[in-house]
Amino acid sequence: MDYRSLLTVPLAALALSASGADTLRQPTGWTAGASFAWPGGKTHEAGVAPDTDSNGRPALTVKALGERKAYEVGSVDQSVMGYGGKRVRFSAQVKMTGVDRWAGLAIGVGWGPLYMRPLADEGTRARGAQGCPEWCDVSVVADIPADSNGVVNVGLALVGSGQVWARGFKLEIVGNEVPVTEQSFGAEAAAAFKAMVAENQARLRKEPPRPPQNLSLQ
Amino acid sequence: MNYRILLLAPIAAAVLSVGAASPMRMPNGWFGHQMTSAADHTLMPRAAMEGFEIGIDPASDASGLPSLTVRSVVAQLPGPISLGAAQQTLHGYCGKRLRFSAQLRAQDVRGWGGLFLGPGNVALVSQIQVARPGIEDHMPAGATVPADGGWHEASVVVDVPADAAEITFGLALVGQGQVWARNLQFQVVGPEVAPTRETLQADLQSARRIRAEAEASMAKLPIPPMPLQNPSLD
Repeated sequence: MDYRSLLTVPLAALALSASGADTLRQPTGWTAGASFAWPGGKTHEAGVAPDTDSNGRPALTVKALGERKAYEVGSVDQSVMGYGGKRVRFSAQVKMTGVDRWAGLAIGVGWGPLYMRPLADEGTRARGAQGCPEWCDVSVVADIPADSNGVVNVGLALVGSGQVWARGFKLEIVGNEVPVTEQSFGAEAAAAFKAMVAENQARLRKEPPRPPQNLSLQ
Repeated sequence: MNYRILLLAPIAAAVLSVGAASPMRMPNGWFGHQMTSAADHTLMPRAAMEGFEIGIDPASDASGLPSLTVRSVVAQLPGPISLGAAQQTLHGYCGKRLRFSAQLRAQDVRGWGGLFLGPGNVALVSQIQVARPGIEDHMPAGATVPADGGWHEASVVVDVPADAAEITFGLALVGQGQVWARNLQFQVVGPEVAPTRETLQADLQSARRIRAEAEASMAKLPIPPMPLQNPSLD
């Protein structure tokens, strides 16, 4: 099998430049990312919360940079392989503050970071379980299709404004007696994104023609 | 403006660069956009970012008649679509017939190289690159010329649908080689000018088949479940 052809991941997604804006510590194995609001830049930051590092019990955090929209998402996650045909549970302790849309843990099927899933053509293909105002145990359970590539993308995500933390992560294969999480991750963000695009298109249709720029190539 | 569109894969990141990733001068108002599947994966991810040089051919700048060019600079993996383009997105042309013309030159092209114009925004070429389902019904019109190294007149004429908020046009190279365009013109034309039937060409079916095969063979691989990496956040 030639994994290089997997480069053509079918996400028609517009997203970020990951260039050096991360001020939070990035732990090995985890990847932080966020929507990109042009021209303002990244909408969220994610990594290890500094105060949790110093108290010896590190927690991942995703923090909105100012007020964020319903289709703007930040996440810190990782992809692991070999879960085709399995029921998996991803759990952690989670707390959140000032969250106006959604924050919690998610499991996505296939490649693709959580923050980009609301922009994907094929839907988010992810389940999510929300956090609470004080530390609480949260778990999300999903079936990974046997005919999929067996890749699972797990992590912490924040949709819209606020901040969320998580620690004590566990990923397990569970039996059929454990019910699957009903809530899908990011469906509202996906709908908000589509509405925003449609609004933009409607506005552009009413605007006067924009002439071509610099055809003389100066 | 220098931002990037990332399609993130865990093994190697495919990076679409929009802006100043190319060593060539990018003229104001134009955007470079590219994705490459490099044959030599040890070049990744740099090769993914820089599989094409896009901008003004430095030699043409010196001559006083600048030409836009797209040139492949690494060997490409067959199958997945590698595409480089210099392009612009405009709005406000609903229901109009448009002509984009230029003098076009092509050399050593294996694939397709030429002018394109069609409904859609900045994402149009990425949708072609990822062989998005249904994109064949939305391929931009295209004009190409013999890859003999000489200059030829070329033009694309398109009826913009009444509901198409945006159109995107430019110079594209699908695959390997180099194309140039100069003396660019963009006009609203009348019904006496015939629309172009040809489209930009990319092997969407091969790209999809190879991706499906890779996914299927991966599903069959006896990969034991990988544990969560670094759960203690060291």
